[in-house]
Amino acid sequence: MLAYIIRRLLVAIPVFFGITVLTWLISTTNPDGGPLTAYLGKGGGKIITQSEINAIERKLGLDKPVPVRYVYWVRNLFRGDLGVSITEHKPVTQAIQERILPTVLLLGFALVLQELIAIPLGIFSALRRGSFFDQTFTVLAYVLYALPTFWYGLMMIVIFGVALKALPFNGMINDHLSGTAFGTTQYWAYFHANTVQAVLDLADHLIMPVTVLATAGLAGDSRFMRASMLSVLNQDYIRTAKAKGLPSRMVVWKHALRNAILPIVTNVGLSIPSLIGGAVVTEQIFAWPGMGRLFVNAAQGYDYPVVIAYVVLLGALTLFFNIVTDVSYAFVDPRIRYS
Amino acid sequence: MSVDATNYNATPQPQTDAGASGTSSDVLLDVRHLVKYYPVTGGVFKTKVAEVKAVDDISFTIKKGETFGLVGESGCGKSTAGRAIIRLHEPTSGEIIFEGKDITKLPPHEMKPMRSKLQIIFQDPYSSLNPSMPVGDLIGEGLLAQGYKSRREREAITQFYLQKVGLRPEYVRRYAHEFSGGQRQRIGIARALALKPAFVVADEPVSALDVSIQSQVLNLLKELQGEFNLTYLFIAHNLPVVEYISDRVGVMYLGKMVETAESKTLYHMPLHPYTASLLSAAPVADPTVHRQRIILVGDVPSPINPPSGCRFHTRCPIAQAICAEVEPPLEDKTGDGHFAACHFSDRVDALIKGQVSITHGAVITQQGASERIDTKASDSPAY
Repeated sequence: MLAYIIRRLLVAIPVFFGITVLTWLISTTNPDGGPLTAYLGKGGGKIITQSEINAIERKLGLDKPVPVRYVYWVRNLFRGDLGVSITEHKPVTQAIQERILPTVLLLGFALVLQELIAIPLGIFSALRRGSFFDQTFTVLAYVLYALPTFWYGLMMIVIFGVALKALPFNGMINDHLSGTAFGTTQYWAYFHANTVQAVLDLADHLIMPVTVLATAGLAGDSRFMRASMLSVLNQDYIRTAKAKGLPSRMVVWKHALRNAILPIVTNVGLSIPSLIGGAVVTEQIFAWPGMGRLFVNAAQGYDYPVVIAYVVLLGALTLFFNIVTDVSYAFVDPRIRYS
Repeated sequence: MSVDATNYNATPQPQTDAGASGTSSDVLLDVRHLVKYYPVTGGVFKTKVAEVKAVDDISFTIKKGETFGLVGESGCGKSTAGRAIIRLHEPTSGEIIFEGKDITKLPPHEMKPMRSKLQIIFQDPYSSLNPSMPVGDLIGEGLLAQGYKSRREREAITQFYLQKVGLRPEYVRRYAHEFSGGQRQRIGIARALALKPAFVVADEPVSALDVSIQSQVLNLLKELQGEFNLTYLFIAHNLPVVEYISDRVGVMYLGKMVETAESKTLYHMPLHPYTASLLSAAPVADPTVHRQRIILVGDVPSPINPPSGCRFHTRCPIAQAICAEVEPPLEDKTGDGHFAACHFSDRVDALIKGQVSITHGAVITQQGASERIDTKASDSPAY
């Protein structure tokens, strides 16, 4: 098992570098003129002399060919330096650090809520297959699945935020309470002093975006759970369990669920990278200062150090959680033994 | 082997006697007018539009300690019958008298202790064992449901039965996928026996196994029957296997019992044309034997809409006009317990010998050594 894990990690190394090379190639072959255009702003009316351009190129190391710059980037990566963000005017690592907590808060709560509802719902409709509940829920699931989050999120803002004025919909905290932005040192001082108020304020801001994200994912996951449960309930060993004289609650929980939950666990495991990657659309709608917005702003502002760092980070996380999921399989399913 | 298990060995098997004297006490299971229909739903509102008549009014008895074989082609309802008898599928109607009590009417709390007395061995040893549980739990779990709270006691019983089916007791920690098909079927047998059943439905227990393993498992079933005083309902489509293991045999066609008799009698003197055609289809391990093959034409009719009268009349080689109108009752034709449901059971012997003109629905061919050589000669290209 240990040998398997080590081998998987070793194989992941060239894949990781493959990801970085591809990301680099794509971002440097930008048809809009490459990194310098971004740095200087797209024209902006200013007239810059060629010598100024050359000076900036030298300063940023852009006078070197792409492969050399790539090697520098890799060297810096191992020093924990991902360059400086063009739009945020701060180190990329710092920009990402600031955004990770809001994103994990938002998507973590959404994922937990989503699974807490989706799994029991899926099980219940599988057990009552073809019932009124199952059919109603099937229709509802497809409707939820088809709803675009940007429209759904805006409708929630219109109803609960604007018309009813029941919930905040802009950002993650009320600046008037804390007097500062989320994540700053002053904020944490305020947080420690007024924990209850700060938590309630955060929760207030979380309700709508979390609901939007959870309902969007809910539909797919509950259908998945239902299908998985149904296929297990049709297995012969379920009939064996009944023939043993086990009460049906034991048949469902011990025999069926234990096997049916496996694919769901995989699904959740593989969705952890996107939990850090953020929700682009929802974060944008609710002005949530998360990773998704960082990425969108970076892409729009030709902020290539951030874009590269974001894509490479997500690629690395995906690689890692794929391995974690595969390995965890061996612990849940006794038939799987890696060697 | 632990001390517990040895003690367990000494405990006598529970054998509840019906109490009555005479022949009725010999009967362990009396199936009366058993019916199992499955609804077919359709339309916008999923209303019942038809019924699959999987088992349609069958009656038979099984004596204590005997093996009753149930044969028939795929889809004739034999497995459904086996499952309905132990209420694994709820029967639609009919009575199942087990040890003098009609178990179809038992409420759940009275049925629960009954479950352990009525056990089943499934056909597929691969899919019928939960892959995520060790063998010890697979076997011992039924005991837990029957109130054996002590884990050590359950494990001792499990190990005892593992040994009885020819597996090593230390296998309790292993998972089902670590065993071969034959071993897995032994686990399935140990699982059924661990509950100390009086009656076991063996639902095609060897069909999924290699021929070399089949005989081992059959002999194991026979040995265990003697040792634990078991009564079997042995469901199969393999005629020689059923002949080998059964004392009496019932033949089913399209949800109906068409013939029941002592195993020897049925195989040598069938009184139903369907039985005769089944027997003529079974290969004989002697290339020199000349045989009549009664080849049935067409498919089994749909059990949703079975033929009128005798269900076999659409394919029967000796059917007459009456067969499409009057359903023949299953009656004792010889006075010694040879039941058949056929208006013309007296002509079956002639059918086998080829001395009867075929009405419709079948083809009779001569098949034997000489014929096969002829065919070969004509098929071979001329050099």
